Amino acid sequence: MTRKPKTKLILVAGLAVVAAALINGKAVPIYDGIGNPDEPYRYVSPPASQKRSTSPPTDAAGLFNISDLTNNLNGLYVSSNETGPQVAVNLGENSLILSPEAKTVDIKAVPLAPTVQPSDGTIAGNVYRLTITPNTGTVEFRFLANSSTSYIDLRLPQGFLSQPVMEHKPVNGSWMRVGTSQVGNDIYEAQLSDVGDYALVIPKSTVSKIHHQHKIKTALVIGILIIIAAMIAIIFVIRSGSKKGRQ
Amino acid sequence: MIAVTYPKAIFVKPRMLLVGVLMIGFGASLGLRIVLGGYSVAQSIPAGLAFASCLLLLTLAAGTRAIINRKVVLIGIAGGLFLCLPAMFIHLLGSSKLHGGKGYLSWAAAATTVAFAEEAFLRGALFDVIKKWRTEKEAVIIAAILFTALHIPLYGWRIVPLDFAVGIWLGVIRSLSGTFVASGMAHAIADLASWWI
Repeated sequence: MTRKPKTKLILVAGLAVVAAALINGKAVPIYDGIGNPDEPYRYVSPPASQKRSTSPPTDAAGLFNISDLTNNLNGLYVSSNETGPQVAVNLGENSLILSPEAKTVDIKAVPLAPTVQPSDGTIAGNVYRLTITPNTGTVEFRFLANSSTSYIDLRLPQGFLSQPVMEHKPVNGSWMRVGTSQVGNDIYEAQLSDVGDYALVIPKSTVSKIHHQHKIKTALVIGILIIIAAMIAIIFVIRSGSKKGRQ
Repeated sequence: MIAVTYPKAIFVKPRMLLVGVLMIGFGASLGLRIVLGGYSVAQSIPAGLAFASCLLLLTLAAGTRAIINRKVVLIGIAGGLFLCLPAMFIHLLGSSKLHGGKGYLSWAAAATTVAFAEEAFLRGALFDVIKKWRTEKEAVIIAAILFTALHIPLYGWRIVPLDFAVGIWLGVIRSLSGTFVASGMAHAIADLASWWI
């Protein structure tokens, strides 16, 4: 490459980086390496195999004016203070039906130790109890078709090998599965349609598969290492062949 | 003893073969990282280090050499600081929380190792072979494509435009400095800064 095209290339590449970064709109992860690690999961009551964390888990809480909910396209967002947050709640614009006299609304997701396990699996991490309390009157969720702006995100504790599902337990109800999607490395999301308890659950069917998965994983690792070793050997052969050819 | 004389054309093929072998090695190393990292592959330090070790072994086998001098260091630092600018700007506009300093050193050591291993392989071993086989421009583009592809399993499709642009930028740095050390420095600076911005 000559000097002029290089200057042009630097400018083009530089502008491309700036434009892509602005479009992407998020600083982390920037370009690579290893994603910034989450702090160890903070349990209310850790399982026997886990050490008790030094700090207790935190609430996701916020007190908002009603106007914040009715005139806000992004909705109201609260998250807990861990790195990264163990719970986050977003309520979309006009997603709640409140009494006309209500002036403020208090949103809280409080961590609790699991007491009642669901029938179809085991809870991974804390249970989060979501409450939405207006200063006066009652509150109900408004059903908005195709709305994806009211959601709850829960972080899966470290060390779980299987995919969890989110379950919801309404006040005075029992656990039931809700549609779950993975939205980050270890963040799982479900649409909100009610207050009550939310938790990530490792389904029973997958617990029995873990042992089998472990065997497959070991076989895959060995297979991949053999391939890499073979590629290294081939590189040496090609290079020594090229050297001989040149001599 | 019969002396074998090879026609010149046969020595063009080893470069193509070498590119293929390096790419298979790269794919296998990425596969190893995904298998070891599981659901938290992007944050798994052991998986990242296993991946980096495989890339470094492939790079060493390919006989890639590092060059370090003042020009290389200056280009690397300038390139890295430029990569931090958009992220700093977005961070200043946004409200994302800062990480504390806890765990930074061990994370930084692992992130730097992975960044240098990726650069040593992509813009060292592979770049050199593609440059000799085809052209420098193609080396920049192919390395940027692989750099982008490498991050999709870790961070999802949303990073494609940014990582491709950064891949080209790192390729330009490699091309200007003549060594992967400068792009490795730029890459490591951007990664290390990502903790704070």
